[in-house]
Amino acid sequence: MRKKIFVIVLIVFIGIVFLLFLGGDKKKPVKQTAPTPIPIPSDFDKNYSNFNYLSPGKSTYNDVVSINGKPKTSSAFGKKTKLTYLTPNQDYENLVVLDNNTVTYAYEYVFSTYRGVLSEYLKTYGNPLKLYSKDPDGFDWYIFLGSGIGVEAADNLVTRVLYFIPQDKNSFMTNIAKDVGLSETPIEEIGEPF
Amino acid sequence: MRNITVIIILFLSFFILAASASAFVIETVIGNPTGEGLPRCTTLDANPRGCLSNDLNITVTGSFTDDQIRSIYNDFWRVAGKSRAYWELLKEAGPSVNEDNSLPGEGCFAKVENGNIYIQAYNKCSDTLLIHESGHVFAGKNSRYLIRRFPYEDEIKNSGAACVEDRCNNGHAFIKTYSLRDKSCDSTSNPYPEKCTFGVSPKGESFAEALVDYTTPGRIGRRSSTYCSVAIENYKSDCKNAYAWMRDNVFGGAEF
Repeated sequence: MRKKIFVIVLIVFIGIVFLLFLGGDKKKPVKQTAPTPIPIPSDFDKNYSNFNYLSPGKSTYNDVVSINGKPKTSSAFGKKTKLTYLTPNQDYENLVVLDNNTVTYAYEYVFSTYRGVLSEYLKTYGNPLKLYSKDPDGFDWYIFLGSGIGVEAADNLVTRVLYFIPQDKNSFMTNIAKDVGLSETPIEEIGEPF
Repeated sequence: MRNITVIIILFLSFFILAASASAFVIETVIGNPTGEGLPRCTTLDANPRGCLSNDLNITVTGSFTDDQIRSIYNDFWRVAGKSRAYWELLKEAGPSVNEDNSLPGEGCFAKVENGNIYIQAYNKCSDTLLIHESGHVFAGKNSRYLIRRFPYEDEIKNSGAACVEDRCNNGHAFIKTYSLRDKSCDSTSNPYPEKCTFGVSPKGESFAEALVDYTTPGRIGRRSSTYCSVAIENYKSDCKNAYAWMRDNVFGGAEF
């Protein structure tokens, strides 16, 4: 009897230790149930966007509005439509691009770790295509062509996530990289005189 | 048997409590670093490289003399000694300071690449240069998402002519002590190709400038006599948005 109690107590404690140290704070880039639009928070640590629920190649304009609310702006270029969305920092806007009423790609800015960290994406999606931002304030990009996802990251912190229709490198460089401002070579930085 | 069970339970309880407490302490120090700044290194005379490495997680490469390394330590300590938050950021980033005499121009020049600082003619540099560059280090490493949260469009750009101006350039607003405003450009449009140099961003440079200017809350003179730097008469009141943001997000409330 005492032995049974001992074993039960031991299992409970091991369980608590396991939950405390392994189970608590993992943030994986996993899609879950259908969302509703989130008001823009002033707290940068909170998720404010549902772009991770978009399905490029399938989602339509109505899906985008249903998932993320009405856009800040909408502009048409031939068959293409660009939608912009507010972020918690006015310096940045999220973007959705539709072609023939179907999402071709979208990106969202990330201000905390709620979309996971770079190492998790590398573990989940494998070897990326490494690209560089033409924006002097931008960071390096890791594009997972076959999975239709890319992340901008610095020191493992993800700062932007790109969702697109899976495609090969040539197609990506022609159709998306140019629009987003990504290059295969890093920009040259200059020094500062004092 | 009962005694053994009790001992095991007590041991496990102690382990869980101790581990939770240390996690809390780490979170408190790293996540909200307030309190005293860095105590001055007591072995600076004998071992300046060790002081930089142990206190600030900074390594130096190149032919810096011991006097120059002490001076580098003092440049950082002037700020880290007053702000534990800045000190913690610097330690987390752990940049190297590298001598690089191949930079453009003559005299003091510096740049940041991959979170590390490259510097030319350090002897001719202002003692605030490295603090400005530390802003680029934090931005380049996206330390705590600071650069992405910095409210350039919302608050800094519209701070008024006493703080920000776009003279000398193509319409971009910078905190006006910044020297190389005439070198700025968009990555997509390039209205002044002969002047435009990628890497000079109004947001990135204003972030670095806001960081270094914060440590001089009164009058800040021109940083360079040969470039577009302009004095700010009273930084704390003239650039109050940038001042408040840096105080709350970078310096943990410490003021100079």
